Amino acid sequence: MNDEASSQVSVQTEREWKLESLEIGFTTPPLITNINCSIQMGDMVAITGANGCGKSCLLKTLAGINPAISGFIHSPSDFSYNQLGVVPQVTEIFPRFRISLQEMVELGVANTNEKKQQSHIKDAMDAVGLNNKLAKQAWQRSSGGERQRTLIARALVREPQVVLLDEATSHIDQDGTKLLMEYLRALCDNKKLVVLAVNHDAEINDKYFPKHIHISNRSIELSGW
Amino acid sequence: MSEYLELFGIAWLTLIIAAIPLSLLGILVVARNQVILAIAASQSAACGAALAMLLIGALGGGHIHGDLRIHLGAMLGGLIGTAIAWTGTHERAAWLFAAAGAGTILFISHSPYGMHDVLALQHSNAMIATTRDVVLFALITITLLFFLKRWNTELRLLAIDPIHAHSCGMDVSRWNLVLGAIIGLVLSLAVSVFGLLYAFACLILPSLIGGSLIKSFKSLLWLAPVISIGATILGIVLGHTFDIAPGQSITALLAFVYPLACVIGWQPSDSKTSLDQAERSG
Repeated sequence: MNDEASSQVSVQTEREWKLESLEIGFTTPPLITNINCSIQMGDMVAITGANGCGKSCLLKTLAGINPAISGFIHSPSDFSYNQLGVVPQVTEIFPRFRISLQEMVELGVANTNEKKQQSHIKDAMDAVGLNNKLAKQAWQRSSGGERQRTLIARALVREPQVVLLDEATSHIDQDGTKLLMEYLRALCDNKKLVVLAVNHDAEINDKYFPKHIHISNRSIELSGW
Repeated sequence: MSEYLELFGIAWLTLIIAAIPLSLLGILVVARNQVILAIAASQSAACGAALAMLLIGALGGGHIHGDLRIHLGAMLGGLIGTAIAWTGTHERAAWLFAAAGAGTILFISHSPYGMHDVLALQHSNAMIATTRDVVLFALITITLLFFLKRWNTELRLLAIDPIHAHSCGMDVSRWNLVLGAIIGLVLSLAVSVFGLLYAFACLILPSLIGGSLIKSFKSLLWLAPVISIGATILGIVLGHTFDIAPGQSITALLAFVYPLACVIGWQPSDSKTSLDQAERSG
């Protein structure tokens, strides 16, 4: 499981994530160096910075998709990658065949106890406002906002401990974004979900994300900690 | 008819059974944009079979259709080809296709049945199938159906969004290795029994036809084998009726149906999506 990244991921008994002396990027020199911070269960963290500064790379490193160059990611002892919900940028997915939005959501139960997770599909779709009619619509015929809501629902059906959102609401209208953020905040409060989101909307960041990681000049600045 | 069944029954049965695993694996190949890699791997399997024929001929083997060593040669060639093509770029696959295509002909051009064997390998001659091939393809089909039932969601996710599959804790590299090996082996066996043309057509065209008609990816998993079996049966009937080669009849049927399916299944948004994708991919 995620072999390359797991060499740098260790478990700890505390219920928090710790990033320690982390360096990330695709080649040297790293995109970001010396990342040190701890993230408590239930935190909502916004990741901000200019284009190309390494925001998505940081999320992908946390997701185990990109290996870190050096440093450590300490995860809680009861965490496994099955409890991770990742919402990629909508432009990263081009299904070759027609696929309905509901089917895309259902793919979220991959590598889990599928029968148990099936009951969450309807809840996740309701949470992001995907009604029955919309659910049958093809991915290829859907707008950017509908696709983003689908990907968020796909991440939520896994009942994740951690959700990583990469510009996941950039195409969703104001009301839809508000509905979604309220839902995520309720999950953070009640189920101690951790949300890390790359977001360019300053208003949303200020309103819903108490903690911020700002990336500039290959380093991070923390606020709200 | 009964005498034809006695003569060709095994070959026809092998064609029908082999249509199932080939069309199912083809869904993965097409979904992951690996069509050129598949044709390179098929050509490599044909080259492996040709090399086996050369070696058997050098050892004084005579006419060697149905020889297990040819299957093994094809499998070795197919696996090597898959390993080269699957782990590399489309350019590498194109190089492999050219090199293996030339090798296939050169290896057996001086054998006693050289041109006949080249034609059988490249253009398909399904009539050489034996009972052993029926059993082999039946076993492959059962194994693949079990695999598909057990890991249906994982396989679909891997076909559509491998990055997300990785973030779901799936070991994508290991999955790719296993799938590459299965595709390489089944394709190689099909090439050595039926020839390249039928094996490749049955791998790719049912998915393309089904993909043009379906509204959900899940339904392609039953539609592609149905198309493949239907075309195979109809191709066999046409071949028998008009006294023409069944392998090529089946391939021609599938090739004829594909543009029709594109027209029937065309939706205005399809062209827009293709344009979007072209723009996004730069």
